[in-house]
Amino acid sequence: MVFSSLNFLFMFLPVILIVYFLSPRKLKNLVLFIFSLFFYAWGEPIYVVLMLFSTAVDYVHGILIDKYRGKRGSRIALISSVVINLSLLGVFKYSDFFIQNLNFIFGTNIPLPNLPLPIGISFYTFQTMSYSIDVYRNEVKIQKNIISFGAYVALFPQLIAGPIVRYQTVAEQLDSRKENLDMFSDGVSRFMSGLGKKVLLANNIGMIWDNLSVRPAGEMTVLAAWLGIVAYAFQIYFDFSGYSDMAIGLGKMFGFTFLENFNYPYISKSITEFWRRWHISLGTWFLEYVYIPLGGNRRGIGRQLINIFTVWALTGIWHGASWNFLVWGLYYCVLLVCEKLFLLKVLKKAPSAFGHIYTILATLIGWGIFAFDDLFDGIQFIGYMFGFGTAGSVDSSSIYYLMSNLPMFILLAVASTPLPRKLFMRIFKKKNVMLTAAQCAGIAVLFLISVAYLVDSSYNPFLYFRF
Amino acid sequence: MKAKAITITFLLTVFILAAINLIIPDRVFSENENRYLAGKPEFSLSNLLNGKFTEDFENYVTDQFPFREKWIGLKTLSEQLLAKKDSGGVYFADDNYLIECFINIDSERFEQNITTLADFTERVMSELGIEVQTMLVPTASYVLAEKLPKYTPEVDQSELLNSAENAGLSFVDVSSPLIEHRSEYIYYRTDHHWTSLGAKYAYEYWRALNGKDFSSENYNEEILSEDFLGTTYSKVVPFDAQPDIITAYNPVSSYSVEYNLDGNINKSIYEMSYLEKKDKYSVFFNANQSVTKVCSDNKNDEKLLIIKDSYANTFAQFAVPDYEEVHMIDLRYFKMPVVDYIKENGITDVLILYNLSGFSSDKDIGILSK
Repeated sequence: MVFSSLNFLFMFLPVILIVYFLSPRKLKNLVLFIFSLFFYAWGEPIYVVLMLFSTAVDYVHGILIDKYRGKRGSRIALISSVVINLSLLGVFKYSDFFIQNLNFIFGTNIPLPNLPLPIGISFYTFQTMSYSIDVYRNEVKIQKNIISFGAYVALFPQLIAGPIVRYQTVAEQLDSRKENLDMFSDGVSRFMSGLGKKVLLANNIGMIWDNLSVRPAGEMTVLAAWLGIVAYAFQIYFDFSGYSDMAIGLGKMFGFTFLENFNYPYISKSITEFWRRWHISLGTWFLEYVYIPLGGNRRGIGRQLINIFTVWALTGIWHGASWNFLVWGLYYCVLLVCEKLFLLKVLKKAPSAFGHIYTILATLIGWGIFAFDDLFDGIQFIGYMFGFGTAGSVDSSSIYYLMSNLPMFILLAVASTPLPRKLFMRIFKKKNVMLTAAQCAGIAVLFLISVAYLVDSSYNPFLYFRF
Repeated sequence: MKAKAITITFLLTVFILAAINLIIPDRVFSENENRYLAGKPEFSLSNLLNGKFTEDFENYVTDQFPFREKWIGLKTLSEQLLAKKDSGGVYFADDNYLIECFINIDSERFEQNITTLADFTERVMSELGIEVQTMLVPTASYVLAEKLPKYTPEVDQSELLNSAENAGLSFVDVSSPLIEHRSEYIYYRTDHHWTSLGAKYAYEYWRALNGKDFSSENYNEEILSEDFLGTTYSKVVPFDAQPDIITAYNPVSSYSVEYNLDGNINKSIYEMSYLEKKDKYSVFFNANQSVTKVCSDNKNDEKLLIIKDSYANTFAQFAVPDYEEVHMIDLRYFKMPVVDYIKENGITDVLILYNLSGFSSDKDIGILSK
């Protein structure tokens, strides 16, 4: 199930709200667990077993790691947990890719398993691993209650597309959280802004990309390529950050506080800054559980470069089992290393407009690699942006797309900056009946318009579903 | 206070809509969209496990959501506020016109359909010595292009007409009479069809092309409806739509019409009961029937067969007094060899009449190869 669906908004949500808030404290995690399983099984009626398996594995391993603390058994249990989780990911996400390349290199003909990708597996395996590792590092107490642990893994707000909530973030909240009106209303505002981002902004602009990216090679123009890639950049940001907002908002309604996942990435002045603002929970995960354990920057520059390379190769391939994602990760690796070595110093001295333009340009080229499963299609598309292989620089239908969506593009650009939020905070800081009424009306209108788009939608994809 | 107000607003919206959704009974058919709405899916373990049940259930909830049309209108309103120039496959054109977009074309299908027509034309000529003429009517987005927003990514309909003309067909290009009268009411504002007036200009042009006469005195002009909201309206349901007027050109002389050879002889080609419903264009020739046969009192031995889509339903009213018999075949329902039909009914003239957009995606033309 996805949040931006009528099923979720007008069936699942009202029922879970009633049941959850009427249940006694002791049963609240059980309610969350059961509803979350239903939420997941709605889209994955078979693979829900896989998630339960992953849950059980890490629950047991957590106990084992704790039991043999200080002994060899503890380490073995940790390794076992990591191996099992990565194997799940390997088999269900990467086996086709691996065998394809094997067949290609050795000329073999091993049949592909063609396993469909279980929704959200990249997110929940990373979460369960974070638990085992944190327990091993003695950073969190083990969770003895399997219901509470199950509720953590399956927690429907962040289950399908993140943010990747590390166990230590919610460890205490799982056992002792207090839902209250302030949190609930914050959650409502957050959820609504996420729903609006997804349904009104991302879906709307995504249609331009879908139209332009499938144009036959002979009909591409420079304007069409730029329009397409800018639309894609907006779509993926508002889609994904909208989902994170909805997740964080729903979490708040049920008394959880998750960490932020996005912080206006498109206003960055360098790629280093961009990755501190984009999909923060993934970056943090790789930092905490890969980069630092490998030695980080503490073992000399040579070792550090190898560590950076490892992290970005993994980050790339985490996004999908295909070469373009690996290249996409390594592309950022090269940019980040360049910045670390000299570029950041240059950027600091240059006017800030230069940094913005460089970052946006680099990100757009990155999306060109990211958006096409076939690496060569991506490279060809990036070529179009710079006039290679195009049929002229402008064409009338691109002008039409631009004109018909100009207010939308402006809206998206403004919404990518902190300005609207700052303005909102300034206006609504005061306590005043009229302002409260205006805010409530705003929420209702946003809600109703989103519903209108959902009722009349043939287009409602979630880009991050495949990860 | 603020937290309470926001929470209550949100909960009220969720619970009120959820309750209405629960209470309002399911609809079987949407008149507005002219289609059956998804019903509650049957539950079975295998449907659940292969994901079909949940998918069907989501379609069911979306289709049956209360006040469906109002929501679509709300969406259209917000698109208009964002200064979008089209929505849901419909342009917001000048003078309150809602014009269907014709952006994507399956060129292969189009070529294939043209080839089918060329083969059919040749076969009918060699076997029966009858000339088959083809009229592909350009749609409003071409004829009324001046009303469209600038730079629309429209398919070039003149190019399609040219390639039809050069394909060995005896082709009737009605774009010039239609463009000549483009400032008149020749297409509906809220529907993808042409009006009777548009069909009249095309008919007149076609008759003249064949050296035959046309007299508008043979018809009584009658207004059938002044509140027609058609298919392009249904796609966007705008709150400010301006309804269309349906005009009939009722032949003065007497005639009789029979559908699907069922033995029921009707005295009128207008099926007035449709005027009470949403789909008022169906008033012409009782919507689309497999076979329609009109006999007039003009015993001139001329028998016209129109192989057609719904565009012919306004066109054919003009043919009634000029021919002894007018037959219409709709290949979406008629699956028999057409050549045999021509022979058995002593047809003397054959016209293929489709709108260009519908023709380019039509999947039933192949019946003509039988």
